[in-house]
Amino acid sequence: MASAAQICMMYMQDADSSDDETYAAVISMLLDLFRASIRRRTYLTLPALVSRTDSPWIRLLRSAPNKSFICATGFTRPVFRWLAAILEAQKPARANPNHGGVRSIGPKTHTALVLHFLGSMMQGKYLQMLFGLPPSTLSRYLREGIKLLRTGLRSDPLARIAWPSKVRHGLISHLHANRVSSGRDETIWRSRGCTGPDVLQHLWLHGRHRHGHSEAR
Amino acid sequence: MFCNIFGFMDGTVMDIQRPGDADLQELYYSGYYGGHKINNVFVFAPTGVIIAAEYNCPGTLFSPLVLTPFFDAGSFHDVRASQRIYQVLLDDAKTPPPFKLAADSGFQSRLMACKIATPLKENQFSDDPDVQAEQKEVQRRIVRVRQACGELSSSKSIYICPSLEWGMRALKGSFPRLKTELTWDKHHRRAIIELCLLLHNVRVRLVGVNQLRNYYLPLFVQGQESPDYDRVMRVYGLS
Repeated sequence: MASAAQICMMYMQDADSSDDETYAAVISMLLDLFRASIRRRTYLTLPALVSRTDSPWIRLLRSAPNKSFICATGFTRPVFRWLAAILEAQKPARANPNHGGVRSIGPKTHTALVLHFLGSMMQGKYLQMLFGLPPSTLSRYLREGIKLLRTGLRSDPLARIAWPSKVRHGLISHLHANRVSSGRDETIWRSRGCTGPDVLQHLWLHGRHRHGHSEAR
Repeated sequence: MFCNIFGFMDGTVMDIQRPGDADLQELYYSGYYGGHKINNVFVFAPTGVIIAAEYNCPGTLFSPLVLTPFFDAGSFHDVRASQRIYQVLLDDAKTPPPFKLAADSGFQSRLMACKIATPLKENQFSDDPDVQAEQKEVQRRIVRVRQACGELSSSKSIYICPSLEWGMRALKGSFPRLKTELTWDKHHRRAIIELCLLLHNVRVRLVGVNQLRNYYLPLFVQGQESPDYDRVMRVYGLS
């Protein structure tokens, strides 16, 4: 674009100013180039975005019912706050607090940005409109958020991908065998005296506190 | 035979952007699917939690993962992506002998027959009516394991596996980003997939929105009122 415009200007300086046809042709060419440059501009700029403090996400966070919150983020509010705390804990502290400006978004918005990215198929420009962030900022926070949240969750027992221990093998298969034999009729459980599920529940739901250390890595 | 199944294994393919490098393009291009893909294998527990995963493997036929001790384990791409899961399965210290996984017919293998229960393919039934009847009974049971409830809709090889599909649906339904074209950067792509898996486990354990879990969890709750609760706790050494 710049080089084409420079060529036009040079041509105009060399040409006779009284030549109206040449002048009109150059103006037309410049207008075409300007129109083409608009089409190539496929990103949103800051004036086109809503304020970060009054973005649709902030409105959702502040006033949405719990069901809507789960629908948007995939998690309940307590779990979301827990995820935000994990992300915040993983952020490296700035060596010099006075160096650098204020962060564009807080930990909750940062977590929500990652969850919206993973939990939807929307393009970047819609995320930008949802959070009021320009493309470069959004891309930077997204990449950082994925990295931080992944690192934080890796070591957490509630998120861990772990092969079951021997005890759990037995309990799970016990549950599964009875589930298959009973089919939809769950009352068969009681008539057969199957008592595995309670132990399973104890293990799977509360394993984090009592038996998390016994899991095979 | 089917009382020792402790999980469901299935593979899935994800689209990726075409890498810029020609060698990488060749590595990730899958002729079977006609595009640049990655292979992933996930193992779901009946509670819906992912207990093992092998992901971000190149979609080509001759992936580096083929060069493992279990190369002859099968003929499908999923199998090649699951070699490390096979190693855990074959290790008796981690997977005691009676226990096995349920998978689809793509995971059939003589080597892994004692560790993976798979349904038969259509051309694998015996011609002997008696043997065939027995095989179909086994088939019906194994499909029921995977189907969790309901009956076999056809005697042909149209075998659906809702338990597996429930798990995969829970993952891709909760995180639709996995259904889009993922980035060509393998490190960033790996981070995205891994984070989805970790969040899936969090979601299953804390939020509880999961079909597998909802299907099995009522049974957990029922057992709490049982008079044998303490006895079972003693048997398993938990009291």
